[in-house]
Amino acid sequence: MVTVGRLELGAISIVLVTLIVTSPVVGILDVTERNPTTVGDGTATASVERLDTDALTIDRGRFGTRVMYLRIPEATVAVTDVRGRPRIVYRIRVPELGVDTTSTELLKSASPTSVRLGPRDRGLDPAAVSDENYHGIVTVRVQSFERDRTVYETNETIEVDR
Amino acid sequence: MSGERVREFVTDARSHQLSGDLDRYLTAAGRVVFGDRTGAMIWLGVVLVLGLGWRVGFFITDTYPIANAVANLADGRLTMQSADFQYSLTLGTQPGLHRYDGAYYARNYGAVAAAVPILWLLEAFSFVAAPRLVLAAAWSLGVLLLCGELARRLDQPALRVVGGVVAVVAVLGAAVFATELGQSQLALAALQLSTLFAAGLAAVLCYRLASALHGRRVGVVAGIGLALATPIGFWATIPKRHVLVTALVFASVYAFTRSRQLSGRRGDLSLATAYGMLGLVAWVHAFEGFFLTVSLFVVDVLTEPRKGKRRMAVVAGVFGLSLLPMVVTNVLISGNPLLPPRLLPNVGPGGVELAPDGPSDAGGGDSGSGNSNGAAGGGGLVQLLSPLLGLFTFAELVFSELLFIGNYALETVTDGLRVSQEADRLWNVFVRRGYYEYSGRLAVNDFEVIDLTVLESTPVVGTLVALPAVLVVWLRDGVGSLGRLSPGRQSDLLVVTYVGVLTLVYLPRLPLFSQLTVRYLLPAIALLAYCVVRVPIVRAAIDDAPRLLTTVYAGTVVLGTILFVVVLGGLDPGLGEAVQAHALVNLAAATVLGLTVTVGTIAPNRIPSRVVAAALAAAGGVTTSYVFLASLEYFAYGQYAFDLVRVVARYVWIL
Repeated sequence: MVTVGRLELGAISIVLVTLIVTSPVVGILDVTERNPTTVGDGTATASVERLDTDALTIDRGRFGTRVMYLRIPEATVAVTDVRGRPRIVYRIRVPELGVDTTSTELLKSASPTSVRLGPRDRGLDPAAVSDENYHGIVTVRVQSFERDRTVYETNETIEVDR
Repeated sequence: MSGERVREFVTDARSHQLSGDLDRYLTAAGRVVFGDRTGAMIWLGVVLVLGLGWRVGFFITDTYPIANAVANLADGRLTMQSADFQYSLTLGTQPGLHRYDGAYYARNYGAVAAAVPILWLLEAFSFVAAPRLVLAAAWSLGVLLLCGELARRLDQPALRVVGGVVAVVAVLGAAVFATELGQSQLALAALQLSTLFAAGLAAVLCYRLASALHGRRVGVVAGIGLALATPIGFWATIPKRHVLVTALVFASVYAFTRSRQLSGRRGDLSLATAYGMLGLVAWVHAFEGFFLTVSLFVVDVLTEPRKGKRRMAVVAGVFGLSLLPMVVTNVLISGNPLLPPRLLPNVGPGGVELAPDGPSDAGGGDSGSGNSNGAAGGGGLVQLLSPLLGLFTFAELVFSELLFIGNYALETVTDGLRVSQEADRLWNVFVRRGYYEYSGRLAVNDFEVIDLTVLESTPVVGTLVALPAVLVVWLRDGVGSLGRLSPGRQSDLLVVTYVGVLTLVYLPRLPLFSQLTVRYLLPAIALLAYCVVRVPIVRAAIDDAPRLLTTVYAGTVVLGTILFVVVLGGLDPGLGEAVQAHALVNLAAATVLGLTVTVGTIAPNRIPSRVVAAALAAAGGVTTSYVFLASLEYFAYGQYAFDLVRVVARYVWIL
């Protein structure tokens, strides 16, 4: 019969064995190699599945924040043929307000076919937002050390909703 | 028996005795720090839970010079040159970097020193195993230990199975999702671990303090509450000095309280420890240490005007010893024992808080070679007297420094008193912040309104709205003899003084940007949170309805967090909006709690204990919720120490 004590001993053994197996000294298994965190060489085919540019607006902050916010819509990008370690870059620029914000997602061979990118809304100085609308540029790129390809680019007029 | 056998026997006995001694010493050391097994388990539990939110990275740029100092000090270097910077290579990105005599120094060396042994340990383990897996394995073994002990205490053997399963999942998950944790990150990791451990210690000391006055149950609630239901949880793995100072302040209050409960040698040692902890605070932040020591001295003399010679000798001896680390550090850096690195010329960007402007020219200035110059070119008599003259110069230096510090202290307190009458400022520091024009510098944080007030960040403190009512009831019921305060009341007096002084000296600098939870006041806020269990009807609620308290707390944490994720996720807020939404919810919880406790104190029969317990638990629960979401979602920097958390956090999508 398996007692609770044995179960605990088993757990301790698994912990220790994992530690030994993954040890760089023993060198059986390099676990960190499979989970890169930085962009490398590579390519991928990508196309924007969903990006609601109408949702790109400027409005007033809620919950007593009283600043202005540039609301940035989520982008869903369909990705296939991932080779190496490229990444998707979703970039929004509003030059007149000094906004240049990006959201990136590293692609690995096991990546899903659909990648969701949601940059945070961007806080703006309420005193700086004086116009009725602003000009914004939205791009989506596949980027790696090897190449940098723009798969989506659009110019948008961003309405200010006070 | 042959001679050989006898020798073997003796060696054996000796080694047995040695290991027995070691065991005894370890047990004694554990008892000094944790008090009992419960204390040790609280520490472990707090470290394991708050460790989950740990991101290895720099949250605030002030951490760069400290982390650089940790890396260098661990290699045996106190002075740093530009080439020695491991993190952030330029000067402009390291606020709090100081320069003296051509070398660079960080500050808060007490905090630096606390991280060095942890770094050595991490480095030692990393020789034989992957650092990422070392952390995961340690976490898993900790869970096993904690669950084993809880199973025994609560008589729930199933908990051991749960512990085993969680431990295995954690370590295997770590192996599957492991990302690189480089050797160069270890100094930062050690620094973060040091504050995480300090958060655990603060909880333990709060537990011991509350237990000493009200027994174990109230103690456990106070200890765990301090870690999870106050900003201590928020700052646990953000390695600023505040959590460490908080732990030392709690140690001081606890030791002081014990000194009033114990007699004889143990009482003397306790009182000495109360002072000694402040000597260590001075090593972390000289001026906080100074203000706290003066406060303790005043309260100590007021409540115990007459002391035996032995008591005074022990206190003076221990306090003197506790100042040594700071004095030695200062002498090694500038040659002046009373010139902390904080006062050396600042080369990083930004100002220095709670320190006089500029280098301390008004005091002794730099005096690295003060002694040797005295005797130069003198005659025989002068040479004979030169050690004395040296001593004299030294005394003069110390005196002028003390004068300088005294002047500065007076100025600071006057400033604090002056601004404490500005209602607008108090409102923005203690009650509601939101968008606050006068704090300026909103651009620093990209116009995200991420700062909370004392009440918004620690709603359990709302209880203290009832303080006037508590005082009235206390006076009505008869105070007892005012001349001879009970140990608990003396302890309260010290707590109130610490809170008052810490608040007063920082008030002129507040409200300030990037305070997040009014972090300058963190030790004061933590003490206020402890004060909650000093309110009689709160204690009654904890004693009468412990199960309800736990259930409501757990429910608020789980359901509240899910609700925040769903509702806020639907509203798709900006960072500042999300933080302010929490602020409003926390304020509401604080208001409900404050009202409940006030009415309950005035008319005890109107409000059942269960209602008070529920209000307290809800206020604590929403805070924990914020602490969790802050690290899971709102404040993204660096990489999670535990990769499994990263995998889970991907599904939390609010901003």
